[in-house]
Amino acid sequence: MKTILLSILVLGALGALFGALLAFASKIFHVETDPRQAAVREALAGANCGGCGYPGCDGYAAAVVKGEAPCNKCVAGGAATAAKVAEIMGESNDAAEKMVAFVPCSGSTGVAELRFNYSGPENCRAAMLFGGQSNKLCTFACIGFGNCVKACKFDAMHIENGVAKVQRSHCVGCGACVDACPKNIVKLIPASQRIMPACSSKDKGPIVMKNCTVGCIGCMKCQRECPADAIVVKDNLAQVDVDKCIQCVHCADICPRHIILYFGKTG
Amino acid sequence: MRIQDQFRDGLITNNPITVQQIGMCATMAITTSLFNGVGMGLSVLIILTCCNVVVSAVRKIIPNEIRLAIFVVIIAGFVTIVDLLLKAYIPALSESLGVFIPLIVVNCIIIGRAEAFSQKNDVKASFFDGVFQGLGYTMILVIMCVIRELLGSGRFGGGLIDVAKGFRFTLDGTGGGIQIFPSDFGASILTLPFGGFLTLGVVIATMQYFLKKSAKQKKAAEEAAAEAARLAAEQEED
Repeated sequence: MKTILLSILVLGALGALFGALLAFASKIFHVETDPRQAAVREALAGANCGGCGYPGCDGYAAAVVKGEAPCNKCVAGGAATAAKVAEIMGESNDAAEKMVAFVPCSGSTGVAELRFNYSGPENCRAAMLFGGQSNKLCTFACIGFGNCVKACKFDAMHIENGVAKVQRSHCVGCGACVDACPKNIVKLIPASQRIMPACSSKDKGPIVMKNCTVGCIGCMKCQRECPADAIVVKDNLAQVDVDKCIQCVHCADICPRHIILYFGKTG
Repeated sequence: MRIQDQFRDGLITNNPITVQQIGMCATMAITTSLFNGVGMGLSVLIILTCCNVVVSAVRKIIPNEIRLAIFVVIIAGFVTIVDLLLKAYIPALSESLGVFIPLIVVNCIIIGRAEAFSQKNDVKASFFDGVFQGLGYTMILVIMCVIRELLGSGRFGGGLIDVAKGFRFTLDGTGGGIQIFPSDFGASILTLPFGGFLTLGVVIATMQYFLKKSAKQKKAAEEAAAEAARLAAEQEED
């Protein structure tokens, strides 16, 4: 009994002593921190998932306040969080427009010609080790072994017929797939953009004809007929200027290769 | 215990890293630049000395059953103070060492010295034990930092020495150090955690080799002296 009482007494006294010492130390060594950092941290989802690419929510909040990170990187929180963070940082919410991943390739199995029969590991990088090109004849084509699928934390990427497809309802626009793609063809586009050419080939028309039955051959038809001058053929590839596009879907209708995709309202 | 003995114990014969082999986690993690090594070493030295003094001062009133809880309270208190101090005055060091400063709370060196030394010795001896053990720790950290930095990236004194505008010391972590050879030729594996294990192994092995050697020489000298004394005694008898 005496030991217990003594223990409580000694530990309590020491605890109180050090508590006082720490209170004193935290006053004299006080560091002013940016109050916005705590506010940003509070607004984040707080899952510490690392989806933003920073070490935890605290790391991301610090980077946002320093101006090193954009406001819309919190993938777990989504658009609502991005808006809140943008408000704290006093930035317009335009930067926080929802982006989604897009794989500009239609060269699915049977459509894109093969260079060789590949039976190695199911990994895009591994498939590219063979001469720096994949097993598909088109050097711009999606290889379809799903490095992006593995990188996606939100189950939004899937391989369909040998080409990666994005399930827009799941995609939060974190860009993990963009970094994972060894061909560097996956890109982020605004979710509101409904017209996109689904090809990345910069090869000349005849070569594309040989490589793939659907690839963009740079025929310029879309460029000529676009009422808003929003679609331009550059490097033998139709490219949409998102700012100019009025989403009239005319190009998708006239494309002889049916390569310009129109995402319906459901995405 | 004499101060000279304590000095030799702390730095060589009972060095916390190479002989007692405690507190290795931080040793391998942070010894990538001289700035980190010196910073970490001195932080541990300060905390160790303070904790040793306090533990030694209260050693007679703490019940044996809860001594570990009390040690942890004392250590955590001083670690938090040093953490706040670094954040306030050397923010670059605080950022670069990151979680390893708060982790000193569970560093075996501090609690090990409290358990093995300062709870049995008076305040003065405990104070010097803290200083010398801390110096021994700092010494090994500096050796490892110099090896890893030099062989890994061809530099000396990264973060601490700035030669961009004449030779000067900095504490804001921006100093690039002295480039001895181009970093392309460095064995960059030494800057990785693997290099930490490797360097630590080599440092411990070297130290142990010389310790063993000097112990052997000492023993041989003692034996020779005893033999001479015996011979002298025999001659006297004759």
